[in-house]
Amino acid sequence: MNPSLRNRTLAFVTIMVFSVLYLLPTFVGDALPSWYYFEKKINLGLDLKGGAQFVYSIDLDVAVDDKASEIKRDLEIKLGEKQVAAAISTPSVAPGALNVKLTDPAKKADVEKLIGSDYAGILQARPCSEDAATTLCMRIASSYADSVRRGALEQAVKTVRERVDEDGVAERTVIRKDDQIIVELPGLAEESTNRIKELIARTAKLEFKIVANNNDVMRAIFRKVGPADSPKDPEAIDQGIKAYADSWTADKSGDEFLDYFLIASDRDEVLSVEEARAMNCYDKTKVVNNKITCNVSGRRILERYLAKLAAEDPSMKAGDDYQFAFEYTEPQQGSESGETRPFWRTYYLERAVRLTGSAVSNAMATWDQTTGRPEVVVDFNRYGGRLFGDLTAANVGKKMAIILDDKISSAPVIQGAIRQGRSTITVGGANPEQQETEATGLVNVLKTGSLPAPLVEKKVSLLGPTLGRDAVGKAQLAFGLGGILVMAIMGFIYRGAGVIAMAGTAINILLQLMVMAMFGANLSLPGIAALVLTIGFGVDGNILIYERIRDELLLGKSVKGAVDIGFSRAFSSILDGQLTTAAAGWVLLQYGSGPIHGFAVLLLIGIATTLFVNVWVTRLMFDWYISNKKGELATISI
Amino acid sequence: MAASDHNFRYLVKPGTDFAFVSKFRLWIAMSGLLITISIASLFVNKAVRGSYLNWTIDFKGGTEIIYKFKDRAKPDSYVYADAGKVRGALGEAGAEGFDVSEMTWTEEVGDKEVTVRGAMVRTPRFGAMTPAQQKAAGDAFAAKFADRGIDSMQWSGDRLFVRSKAHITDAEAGEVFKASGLEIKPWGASAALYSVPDEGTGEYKQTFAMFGLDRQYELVLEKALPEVDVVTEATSQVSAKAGAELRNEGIKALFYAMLLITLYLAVRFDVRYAPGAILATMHDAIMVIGVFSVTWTDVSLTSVAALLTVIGFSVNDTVVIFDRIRENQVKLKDKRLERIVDISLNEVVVRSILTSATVFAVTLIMNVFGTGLVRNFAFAMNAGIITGAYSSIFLAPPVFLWVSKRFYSGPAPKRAGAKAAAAEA
Repeated sequence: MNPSLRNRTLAFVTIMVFSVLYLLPTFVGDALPSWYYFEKKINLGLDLKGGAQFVYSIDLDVAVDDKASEIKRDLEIKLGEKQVAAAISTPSVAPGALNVKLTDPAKKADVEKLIGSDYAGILQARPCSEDAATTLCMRIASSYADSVRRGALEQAVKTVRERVDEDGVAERTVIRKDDQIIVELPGLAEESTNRIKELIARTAKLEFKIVANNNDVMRAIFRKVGPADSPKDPEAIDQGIKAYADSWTADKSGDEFLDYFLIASDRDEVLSVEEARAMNCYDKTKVVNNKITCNVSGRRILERYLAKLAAEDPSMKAGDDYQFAFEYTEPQQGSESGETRPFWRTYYLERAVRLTGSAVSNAMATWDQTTGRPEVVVDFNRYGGRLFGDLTAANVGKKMAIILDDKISSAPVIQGAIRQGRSTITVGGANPEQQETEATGLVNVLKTGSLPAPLVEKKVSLLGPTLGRDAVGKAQLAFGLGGILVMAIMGFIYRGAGVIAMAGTAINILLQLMVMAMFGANLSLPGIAALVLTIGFGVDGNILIYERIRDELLLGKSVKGAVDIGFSRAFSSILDGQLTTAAAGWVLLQYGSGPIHGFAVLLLIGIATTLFVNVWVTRLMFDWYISNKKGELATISI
Repeated sequence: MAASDHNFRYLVKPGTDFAFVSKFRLWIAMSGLLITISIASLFVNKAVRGSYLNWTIDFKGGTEIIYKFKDRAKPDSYVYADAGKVRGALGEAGAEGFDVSEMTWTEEVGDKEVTVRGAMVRTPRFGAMTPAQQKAAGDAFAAKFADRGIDSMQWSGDRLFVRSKAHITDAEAGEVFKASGLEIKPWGASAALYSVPDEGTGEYKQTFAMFGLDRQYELVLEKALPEVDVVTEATSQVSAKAGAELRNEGIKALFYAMLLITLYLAVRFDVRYAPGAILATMHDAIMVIGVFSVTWTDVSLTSVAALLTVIGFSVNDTVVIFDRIRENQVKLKDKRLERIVDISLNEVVVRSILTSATVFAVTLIMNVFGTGLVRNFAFAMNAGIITGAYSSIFLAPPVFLWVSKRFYSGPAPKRAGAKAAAAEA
């Protein structure tokens, strides 16, 4: 054996052993010992193996209410232009309700006319108990509300679909079923299924609001509770609620700011069965004497306490244009508060939403330069960027609360006007790994946009193969028979060389599966279509090479010479054919989603392995075949 | 060494000299005719059957029905019905284009949690009722309840959505539908969900469901599975898996793929080759769609995968033939282009037939032995391989010849020749 052949043989054996070892987890599964190094598996798609089906319901009335709020803002501007003094509210009596209370009853006819012309078919009158002389009671018209609901549902389906795709799950199904959304995921590991479920259900409502500083309500509450080092209110002490004051000075203006806040940590409380049910922690097995021990979040403790204070003393009630919001904080080493457990803290905010997630054009995960903690940078679109610039310019020195899904993610002090049209969001999570998962998830949901309303999981079922269990069995039989047929044809026509072609095909399939496992690709029917196609290409490549070798042999060339020329002549045809198809496959990879994407992934993998097998592996086998014989060969079995 | 030392088995004896080029007009006319038939059949379908192609639930949505199977002997326990049996029974009863898959969920029966193994049937039909039936029943309903202030009324499959000023009870409505020969499906425990008074206006939003597709299939299944009591767990309308979005993306992708193929051929070969390859590919795509249209075969996402496979196969086949023409253009400089094409085709025809026959054989077996989607895929492949092989030999080369003669009357451009010569060295 010459050195080149020996080296190639060695490389070949290494590749084969590696492939087999790599594929063991896919075929043997859990039977492997825990020290086994390779763990990646090929996932079978929904059609071949089944998976799980999740049914989500969505409260579409929220979308109608949002529409009413939008109309409210719109109407406020219009009435402002006409200099009509009016208070517009969106009471929660019915979805999409809207009240316009005029200061001057004489203007009522004008406003009615304006609404009649600008909102025909959108708003309709609603019976109500308000004073008819000054107040217009309206609601979103039924048919218009229906179309808003329908649009919101379509939007939700699209968003969920994009989120699942963004996560890289191939062959998923996301469809609308009546007023619900069905998500079907192939049988993935529990961990990934949970991650995807979290992504799907996330509303991803991003809001920017301004923190109200130096406010009397918070001051009154602070006085009632007492500072952390000398607490006053026994009830607050009992519940572990502490009060702090945060003060800072604006860099430029030198203005003093003071922000009072409360904190509380999660704790276990013994609750009655009814209370536990209301808090979603009811568990039949844990009931003792009609009582149940629940873990109550610090947020809940604070909300409860603030509600009680507000009921007792109006001076501690949040004003109409203000609200309480909460931030979850992981204590850091040596923080001034001295807290060691994670806690929730309050913020007192101006209610008005200054900017929402709809102004976000892009999001990406990066690291904070100073702390090394993952964070997410959001880019605003042009309109959003301008709004953000104005907002920060007007509120220098104040804190801006960045609220994600009703929870403050951070509230930095605005140091100066930010005109670059970008903002950063810090992410939660106890350890770096969690933080990074959170950051990628956040990027996904911010890019794909928010859901019109939260999704609620209604039902989980296991799905059998959507192709049908019986059909999968029959398909396997058909593939087996097809394979035998190809071998028979090749073996009959090309005899010895046909056997090489068969071995090449088997190696090609092995390599394709190995690369698939490496990429964690999903195998489903479109993928199998690509596999069939590339096997066809492989056989075609063999035929091209063999025909060339035959031509050269007939021309009287020596066996070695004919094989050499046969391979080199056929190479350009094979390469051009494969690369043209690969070009098309690459386009499908960019544009397609779902089944087309799955097809394209396997097509490209298949083209790569087929080229390798055709020009390198088959050639190696021919060299073995030729070099094993002593002396000059007269002919070969081809 | 004499040639006679070699003992090759041949599919087609070497030294053949089919005259491909002289019959090109005939081939092109035939392709033109078949393409015309394919496209025309789409419009015939639209006129006769109401849609261009037999779209399955993947593209147009439909009804999802979930069944569970109660043991007749032991009414409290569920039995497992094989998806194959369910598919077989529905198929025999003449249902088309449906999917059946197993579905497992848990249910609380009394204090216990029971695992139920049911079946999910998805069909592209939206309801069992005909438009005439819907109109008759709707008219009767509107006439009877004119005093309730009906604002809007709309059928969706076997369901009637009504918005009215005053409430209409299921019992009242049932009477009216009974007169039209329909049976109303009681909502049971969830009745409140389907009869919602609007707090704002006092308007009522109601849904009346008829026993339709679910009942039809239920009866078919009970006949096929006499030992079980088939219970409909839920019926709902589902949207398409791949709506307009995927279709538009698909068309865009196809366009860019063609562009890239053209670019590749222009760089590696010569621009003259590109139109032939593109036309052959489009021909194959249209022909496969035509076969689906004429035979009224289900078009699902799997069919799309098959179409992509056919296109990939056809492009590859065409490029191999072009490669041989390019090579012979350099080798046989003294011959006329027509002759070069003829010689090249004769050289590669064996390989084309052999490759196509091999893949055809595999997919034919899949067609014969497979079921459902596998069969659907294989059927598309069978049609596509025939047209792919045909177009590579009979369509792409003539287009290349025509473009060459029409726009390039000179000899082969230097660049392509130089490259091939370099490869030879």
